[in-house]
Amino acid sequence: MKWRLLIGDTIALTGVELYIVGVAVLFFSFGLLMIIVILASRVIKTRHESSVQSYRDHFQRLLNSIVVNTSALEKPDSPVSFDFKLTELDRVIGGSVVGRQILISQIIHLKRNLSGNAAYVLSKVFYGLNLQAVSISNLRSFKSYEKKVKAIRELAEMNVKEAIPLLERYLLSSNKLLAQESLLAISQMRPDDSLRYLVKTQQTITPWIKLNVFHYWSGGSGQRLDFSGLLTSNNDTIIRLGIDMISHFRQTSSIDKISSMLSHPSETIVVESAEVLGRIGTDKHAKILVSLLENKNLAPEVIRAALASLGKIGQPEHHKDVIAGFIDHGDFGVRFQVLQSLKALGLKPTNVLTANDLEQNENIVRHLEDPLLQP
Amino acid sequence: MAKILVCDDDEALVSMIRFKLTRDNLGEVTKASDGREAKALLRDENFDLVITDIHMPFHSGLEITTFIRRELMKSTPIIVLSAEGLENTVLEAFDLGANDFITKPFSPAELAVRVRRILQA
Repeated sequence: MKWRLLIGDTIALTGVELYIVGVAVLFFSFGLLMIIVILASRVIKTRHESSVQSYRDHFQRLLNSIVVNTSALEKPDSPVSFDFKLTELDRVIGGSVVGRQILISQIIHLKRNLSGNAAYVLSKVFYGLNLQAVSISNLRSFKSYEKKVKAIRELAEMNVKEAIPLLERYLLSSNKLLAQESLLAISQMRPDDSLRYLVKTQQTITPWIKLNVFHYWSGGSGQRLDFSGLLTSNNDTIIRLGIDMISHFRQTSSIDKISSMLSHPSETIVVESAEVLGRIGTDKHAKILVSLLENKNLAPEVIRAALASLGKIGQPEHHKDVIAGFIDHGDFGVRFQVLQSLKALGLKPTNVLTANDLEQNENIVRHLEDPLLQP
Repeated sequence: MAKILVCDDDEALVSMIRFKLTRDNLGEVTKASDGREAKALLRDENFDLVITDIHMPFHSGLEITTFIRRELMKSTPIIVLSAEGLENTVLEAFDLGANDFITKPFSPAELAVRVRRILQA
């Protein structure tokens, strides 16, 4: 049986023809719709970009005049006064959320590059327009974590201390990036108080976090802080940060606490503690290293670190035998360190080791005597 | 009116420097957004002062300094601007022929004072 459709009086389509026409119309409509969608998105994007650029240009002009003319801060009634410019900025923004976000980015960008009165006046603009409320609101809202991270960075850059209680909540966030950024933000805003947060954190201290917190402490607070508090943490990466900072800031008052870390179950912590003793320890700590080396079950890495430190702070007459005692160790690195430590103490291997030991380690002795390696 | 070339890919910062120097009547500012544009402008025009950032696309500020001193053989005063205040970088800039070095973050007022001092010398 054939189905026929009459169009007008003359054209008739079979069922198959009707199907083909239907599919063609469908494809054509879909194509047309796609073109409209693409064109509309281009128009919206272009409009958005030109609106962003227009905001940027407006803000830049006003920020330039505010930053350059910092003396206007003291002339409240002048048309070039700070309050006048602030009102102008507020007028340009209107109720635009995009405008506020652009202004925040521009203020932060300029503040990174400027110092003195110029930086101060930029902070005044930020707080004067209550822009911190925008960042706090972004952090509080159910936005994507990228937007929250951006808000955290804005709050840290502009030193919005009122946001610290809110940031504290994110320290324990299951999102590692949020937890990391809030820790960094608090450390940046309160470097003197950052140890209180660090000692409690269960986050792994990555090289990135370490680099940043070190940068904040280098501003001066690092000399005042007592990093030995970090050694009580149950987070190994925090303990390692503490050991590193005690060594870097040469906090000799904490050296006894470093000695106690030689009995820590983590091999890495023991190695790093032994290394720090060699850097800032004294004769007293050489004895502690000798006691450590009496343990017969030490890992080669620990022995190497202890021998290296003994070579730095030990006494030739008291420690040469302890060091030389490891010359028949199975690990090449340990034997190499024995000869290096003897050299560091100013001893010649031929005066300390037996002929047999020297023969067994001839290649190391020859290497260390290479003229190119001499100081 | 002195002719000043500011080479930096940071639009906002260049705009601020231009505003400050123009407002203080220190000169007419020309902008170069990257090392290539800076070299082309330096070849075609004579400037009384060059302020250059170290990190720029195509050619660094240190390369621009070398270009002015070694290729163009000009004694145009150069102020190097950088976020990198490392001793080696500062020494290298001076060694290549820079007249002054300013570390970011900097004060616009201080920059203006340094520019005026160099232009008056």
